[in-house]
Amino acid sequence: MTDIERGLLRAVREGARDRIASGRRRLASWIRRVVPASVLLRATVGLAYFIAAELAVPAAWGSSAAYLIVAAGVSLFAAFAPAGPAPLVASLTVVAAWLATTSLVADHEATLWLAAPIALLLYTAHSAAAIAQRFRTTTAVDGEIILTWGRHLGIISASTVFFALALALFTAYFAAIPATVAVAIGLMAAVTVIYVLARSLHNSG
Amino acid sequence: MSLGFDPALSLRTDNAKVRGAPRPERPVEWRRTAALTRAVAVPALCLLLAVVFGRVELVLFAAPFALGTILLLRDRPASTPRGTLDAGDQTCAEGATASAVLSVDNPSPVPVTTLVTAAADPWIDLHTGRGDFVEHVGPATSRELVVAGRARRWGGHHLGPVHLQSFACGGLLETTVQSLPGAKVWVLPVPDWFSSAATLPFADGVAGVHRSRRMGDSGELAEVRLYQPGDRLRRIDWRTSARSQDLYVNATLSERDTDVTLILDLQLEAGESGGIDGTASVADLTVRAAGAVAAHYAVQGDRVGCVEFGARSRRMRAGAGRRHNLALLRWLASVDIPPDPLPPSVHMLRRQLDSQRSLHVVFTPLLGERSIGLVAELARAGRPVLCVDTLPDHVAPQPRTHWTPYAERLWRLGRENTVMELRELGVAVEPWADSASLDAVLTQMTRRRYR
Repeated sequence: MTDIERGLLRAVREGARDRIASGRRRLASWIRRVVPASVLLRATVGLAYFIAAELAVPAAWGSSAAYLIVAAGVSLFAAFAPAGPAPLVASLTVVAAWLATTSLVADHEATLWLAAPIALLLYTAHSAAAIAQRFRTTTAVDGEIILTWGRHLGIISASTVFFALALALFTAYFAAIPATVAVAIGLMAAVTVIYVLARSLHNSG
Repeated sequence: MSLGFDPALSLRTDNAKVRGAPRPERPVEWRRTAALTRAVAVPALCLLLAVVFGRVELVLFAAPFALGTILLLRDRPASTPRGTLDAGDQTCAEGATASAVLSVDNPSPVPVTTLVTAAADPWIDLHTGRGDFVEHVGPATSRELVVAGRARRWGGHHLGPVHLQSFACGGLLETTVQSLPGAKVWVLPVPDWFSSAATLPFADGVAGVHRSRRMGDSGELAEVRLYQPGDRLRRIDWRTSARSQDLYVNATLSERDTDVTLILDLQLEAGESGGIDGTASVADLTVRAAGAVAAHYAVQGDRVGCVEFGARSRRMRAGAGRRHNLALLRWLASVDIPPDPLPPSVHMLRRQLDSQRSLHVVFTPLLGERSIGLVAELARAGRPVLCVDTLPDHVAPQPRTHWTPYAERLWRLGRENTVMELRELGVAVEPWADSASLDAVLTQMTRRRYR
C-alpha cells in the first residue's frame, strides 16, 4: 500500500469515526435536554388515537396485524408530526373505521356508550396535538399551559357525557319522527353548526 | 449572449453584504393553524355523515369538537404580543452563566402561550429550559423571560437570534415568528493562579513592593555605614557603634513599583480548544497565562500594560489596581487569531513599547521565525525579557505517514536548540506550568541585573 492510499484510507476511517462520535454526542445531548412534558403531550396524541382506533372496530379486527399496523402507523404519524395533516388523517381513519365496521360487521353495534369514549379520545388527541404542534421534545413547558388544557378537557368531557345522556334519553323519540322531517331537522342543525364554525374560522383569519 | 446573462457576473462575491434591496421584515400577525382547520373539518364531516347515513352517534363524535372550538374561539386576541431583547453590554466569566433578558408584552385581554427558541454560539451551552421553552403570558401583562447558557470559553459570543411565536385559543391561532437579532456577551477569561515572591528588576517607580537600587526607608538592608548629619537616630546600629567607638547607621534600599509589559504573540493558533473544561490551545494558554501574570502584578501595585504581536497589533495602556485588572481581562477577551493574518512587524512593536526600563514578558509558542526574532531583538536591545512558552504539551502534528514521528522529533530538537540559543542571549525561557513556575527565572534575572 502506498503512502497516498494509506493516507486516503486513514482519512476515510477518521471521517467515519468523526461521524459516529458526532452522532453519539448529539444523542447524548438530546437525552440530557429532553423534557418529559413535551414527550408526554406527544405520547397522549399517539395513545389517544391508537386507543380510539382500537375501540372503533370489533375485537377481532382490532387484533389483526393489518389493522394494528394501520392504527399504529396513523397514531405514530400524528404523534411525531402534530403540526401537519397527520392528526386529521388519524381522526378521519377512526371515523371511517367506525362507520365501516358498524355498517358491515353484524355483531358490532353502534351504541352511544361506545361512541362517547371514542369521541372523547378523538378530542383529547386533537387538543393535545393543537397544544404540542410547535413544541420540540426539548421544549420546556410551563405547568400553567398543561393545567389550562386539562381544565378545558374536563369541561368538554363533562359536556360530552351530558350530551350522550341526552341523546340516549331522547333516542326513542327520534324513531317516532318521520324520516323526511328528521333529515330536514338534521340538515338544518348540521348547516347551522357548520356556519357558526366557518364564521369563527373566517373571523380569525 | 448579452453581458446581463453572463454566469461569471452572477457569481457570489466575497462581500458578505447581501446584494439587492433588503427584504422588509414580515409583520407579526395572527393566523389560523392546522388544528383550527381540523377542528372545523371533523365536526362538519361528522354532521353531514350523520344526516346522510342517519347515524346519531356521529353527532356525538362532532359534539366535543364543535363545543370545544366555540369555547376556545369565544375570546380571541386582537393585537399580537411583542418581544424585546435586552442587548446591554453583558459580561460574565468563563464557566459562568451568560444571559439575556427577553420581555414579552401581551396587550390583548386574552392569555397567550409564547414559545421562545434561542440560538447561541457553540461556546455557549444553553441551559435546559432557558434556550427552548414555552411560557404562559397572562392577559394584558408583560413578562420577563431569561435566555441563558453556560459560557465555556472566553471571547465575544453571540447569544441569539431569538425566535418568538405566540399561540392563543388552545393552539387554534398562532402568530408569525418574530425574530430578534440577539445580543453579544463578553466572556472574560478565568486566569490560571499565579503568585510570585520574586522581586522584579528596574523597580524605579514611586512606591511598591520590589527592592530598588536607590536608598530609602524600608526593611531591605543595603549596608552599614558611618553616621552622617541628617541620619535618623533610630537608624543607628548600636551594636556596631559600640564595637568600633564610632556611630554607624543601617542604610536600607527603598521598595518601589515597576512596569511590566506583557507581549502576546498571536500569530499562530495550534491545538484544539476544549473550553474551560477541555484542552487548551495556544490562544487559551496565552490569554489565561497573561491574565494570571497581569492580575498578580496589577493588584500588587505594579503598572501592567499589554501589546499584541499579531494581525491587529492592539495595545493596552499600563496601569495598576483591580479596576485596571478587570479592564485588562476585557481586553484579553477580545483577543482573536485570524486564520490568515498579515505578518506583524517587530520594529512597529518596538515603537509601541513604552520604556526601556520595564520587564517584558513575551507569551509565545515559539512556532515562527518572527516570534523568535522578536524575542532576540528585545534581548539585544538590552531590555529584560522573560519568554513564557505557551505551546501546550498535547499539541503534535497529525500523523500522516510513518515518517511523521521522526519529523516531529527533529522539529522538537530544533525547537530546543532555538530555546538554548535564546537563553545564551540572556532571555529567560520558561514553559507556563503553574503558580510559581516563573519565580526561579525572575530571581535569576534580578540577580543578573544587580550583580
